[in-house]
Amino acid sequence: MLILKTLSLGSQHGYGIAQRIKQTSESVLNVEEGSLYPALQRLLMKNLVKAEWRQSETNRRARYYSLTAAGRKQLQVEMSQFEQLIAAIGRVLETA
Amino acid sequence: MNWRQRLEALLHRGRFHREMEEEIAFHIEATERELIASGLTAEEAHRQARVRFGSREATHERVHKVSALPLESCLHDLRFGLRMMRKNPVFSIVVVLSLALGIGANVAIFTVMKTVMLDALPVREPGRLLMLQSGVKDGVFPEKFMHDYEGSTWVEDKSGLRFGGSMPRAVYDAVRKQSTAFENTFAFASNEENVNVGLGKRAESGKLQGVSGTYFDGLGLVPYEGRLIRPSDDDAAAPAVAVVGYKFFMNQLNGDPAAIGRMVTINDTPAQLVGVAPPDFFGLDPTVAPDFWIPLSIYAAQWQRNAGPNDDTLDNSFVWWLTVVGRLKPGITAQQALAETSVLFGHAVQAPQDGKDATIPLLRLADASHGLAFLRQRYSSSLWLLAGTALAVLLIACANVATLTLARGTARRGELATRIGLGATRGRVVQQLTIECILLSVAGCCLGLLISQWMTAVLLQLLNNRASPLGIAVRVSPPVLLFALAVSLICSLLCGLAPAVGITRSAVSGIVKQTSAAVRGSFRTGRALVAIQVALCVTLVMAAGLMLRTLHKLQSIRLGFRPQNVVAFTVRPGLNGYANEKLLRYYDNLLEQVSRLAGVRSATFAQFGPVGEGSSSSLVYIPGFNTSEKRSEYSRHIVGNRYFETLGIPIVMGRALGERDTPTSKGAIVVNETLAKKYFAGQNPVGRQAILGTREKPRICEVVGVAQDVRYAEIRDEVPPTVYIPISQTPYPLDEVSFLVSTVGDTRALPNMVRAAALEIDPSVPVVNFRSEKAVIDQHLSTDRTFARLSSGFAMMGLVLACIGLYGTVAYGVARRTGEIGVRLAVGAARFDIMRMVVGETLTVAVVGIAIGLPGAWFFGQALRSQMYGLGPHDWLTQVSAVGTLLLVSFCAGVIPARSAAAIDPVAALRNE
Repeated sequence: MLILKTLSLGSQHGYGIAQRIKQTSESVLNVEEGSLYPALQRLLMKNLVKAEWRQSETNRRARYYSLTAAGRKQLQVEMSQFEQLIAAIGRVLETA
Repeated sequence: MNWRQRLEALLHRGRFHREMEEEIAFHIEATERELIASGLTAEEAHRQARVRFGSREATHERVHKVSALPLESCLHDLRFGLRMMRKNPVFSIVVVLSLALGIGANVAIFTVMKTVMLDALPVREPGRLLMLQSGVKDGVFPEKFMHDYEGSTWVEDKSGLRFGGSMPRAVYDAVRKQSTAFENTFAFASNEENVNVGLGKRAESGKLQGVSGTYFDGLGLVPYEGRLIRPSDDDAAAPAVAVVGYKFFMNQLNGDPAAIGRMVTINDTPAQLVGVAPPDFFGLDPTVAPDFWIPLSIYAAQWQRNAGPNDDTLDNSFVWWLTVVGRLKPGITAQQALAETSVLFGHAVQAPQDGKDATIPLLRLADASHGLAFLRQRYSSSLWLLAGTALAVLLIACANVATLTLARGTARRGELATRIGLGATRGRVVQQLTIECILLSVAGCCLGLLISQWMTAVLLQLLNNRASPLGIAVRVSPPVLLFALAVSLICSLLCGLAPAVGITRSAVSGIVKQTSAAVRGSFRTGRALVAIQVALCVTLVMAAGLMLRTLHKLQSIRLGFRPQNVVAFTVRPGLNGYANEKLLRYYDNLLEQVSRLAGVRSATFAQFGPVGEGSSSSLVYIPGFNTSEKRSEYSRHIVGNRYFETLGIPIVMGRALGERDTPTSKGAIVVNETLAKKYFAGQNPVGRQAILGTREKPRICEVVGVAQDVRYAEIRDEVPPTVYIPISQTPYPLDEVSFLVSTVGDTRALPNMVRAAALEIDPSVPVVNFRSEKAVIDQHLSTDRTFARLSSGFAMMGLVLACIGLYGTVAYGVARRTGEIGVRLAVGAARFDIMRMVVGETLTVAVVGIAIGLPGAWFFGQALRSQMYGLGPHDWLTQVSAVGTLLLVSFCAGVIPARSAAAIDPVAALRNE
């Protein structure tokens, strides 16, 4: 979900995704490279993201991932599910 | 990514790999730049970036796993497995061979057993065929209903009832006409007959079966050529027809379709050949396999002619001679059919003449889908025994595979631990080991199937001996192939994978060290497995020993005659209508012709050839020894002139039978030594009287000579008291005789010369069954020989496999204990002590195995009792040599690793530690 959200802001390469998550979460969430690439591969296989080779900002060839239509839809679903979950946890914590 | 993309990824693995590599490199580079930006030196940043990323290989592997088809890793493992097989050829060859031998033996026996015991008849819907059988209690012959019973022996079932399959004609007629449960009822003569078949200018001998006109329709058979016998053929007024068996058609008639429609002469009756039976059909009793089928009407007419006009045998309901089979109508149960048929049977069997208390024999309907059951009984015990032996070999082979995998797995522990450490999941490693196992088992299975082809042929030869060849074709069928594949997979997975999985488990816990408890555990398991192998081996070697000793004893029996250079052949002029005077004249003519041939030293003829060709016995009254009421049994041989001279049987006292014993001269007989000893109390019997014949018609004979004992019929049996009667004086006409010819020099031309001579006398009487007496004896012992060979072969396989297992375990143990042995040597142990220690441990395993195996061998010996001759199941010589062989073999298996143990360099060994 985090990857999908990150990509919803625009296409990005693997390193960029990791950096973006780290920055926006103010270093709370640290995506391990060991899990990032398998996760991207899984998303590719589910057709939620697509990949293309482009020049990076440092003029090197890098693989840029971007969301597909299905990916956008999936993000919506996951976000709403997540919000429901957070809301539910919040209610439990408040009443306790 | 869909399947197409996946496939592309699979096909462009290289590109996929490169792209992944590039992406990772980019990632690391980017991290590096970031670190430099945060103030690290270029060098430090370079290092840090790589540390942060972690294992590139592991990432690679994981990404790969997400996208890869499972097939891909399998292909990869397959390649790796093949490489491992090549890398370790001894291991692979031994495992494949072990499996192949075990599987080959079992497939061969399973194939034969399936054919003999499980396969249904090759007819339409065999499951609906039921055979009528009558049962009597306590073996009492139901004489109120039956005077004469023709056909198969009676079979006793579990409840003590004895069942036979023959019925009087009246029962067949009643069931055929009145049954509502059967859609078709057919019958055939229970006894098959040997016939002479005239085929134009030549004559052949064949087997004949009389069948009802409904027979082929009832079985639902389609002819190979022409047509089969129809109901309209089974009528005394219809023209005579005959159907020929496929084998006879192909071999004797050269498969020529023009032969259909021709006339043949079956015994004396000309009949038109109307068709050929389907290739895989051999009648209902596969031990009989008729060459010709004729309608019952002709069969009855021939019988009538032989028996004389006043004999109404075949219509007499006291003569039970027909096997009756019915095909159930759809929807009718066997119980309903039985209820109805029992009533018909009760009416048809003639009511008792005296007394109303006689109970009618019980009727039952037996499943006829497998044909008649007698074959199964004849062979099942030998087959089960062989199956047991083969199973023992398979078990040894499995234990061997397990031992070897265990030892090799331990050797590969380091490799496996490294792979797991480098990021392979345990599932992935197990998958790889499974594929290696499957590779080995498939190789073993293929080789095993090849071996089984050969072994099936050997087995069939074993079953095909003696006078009645099996008319069954054995084919490797899909179930057999499945059986082989299943056996090999189960064996290799159980025996190969289980230890391998155990090793991965311990490897997972990161043990790369060699001296763990797990290693010791697997070593103990290995020794236990080897002990079991040795135990199974004891049984096999013992069985082989008993069979070999039996064969040896049989071969060294003194036969009492000279089989060298004796040739025999058979003529059956009685089947062509020769009788009495004419018959005797035929024999004399032929004997004269044969005696004149070149290379013939002496010739004679007799009722039976010496070995393995049946015997007949009767009762004799000897005044002074027994009474005419209590007569003693003797074995009867009717012989022609010069019998004793031709066979080289010494006459101990008196004279031989010869030309002076004519039909009109005084009855003369020669007895054997056993009879002289038993019935004449060892006194000289020459000149004494013996009364043969029946009480009503006694025939007083004089003993003119005593001949040395000869083993007739069964070589295994004790020599019975025997009487030789000259053919000229016998009241029994012999329809057929065996000629015995003692020859000198080259005898290859003899059969053709004899045939030419016989053709001159009467072209319709064939000369059959040419055989040399040596070959007859060999053939007679063929079962014992094949049994001995097969069991020795199995024992050898077992020994070799156990030896390999023992060697492997000990060698592995030595390798494992290199350090310990090094210490022992370093503190002053002599190299001889080390050798003694290793060999001693080997022998301990062997002795434990032998101790476990002896009770099993004892039971196996008991089971083999019926196959043995001249020794008991606990023959000490066999036992001692079996145990000795095993000890010797295990000693040899231990010596080689013991030598390598003694050659260990203590310094190197300790440094290794």
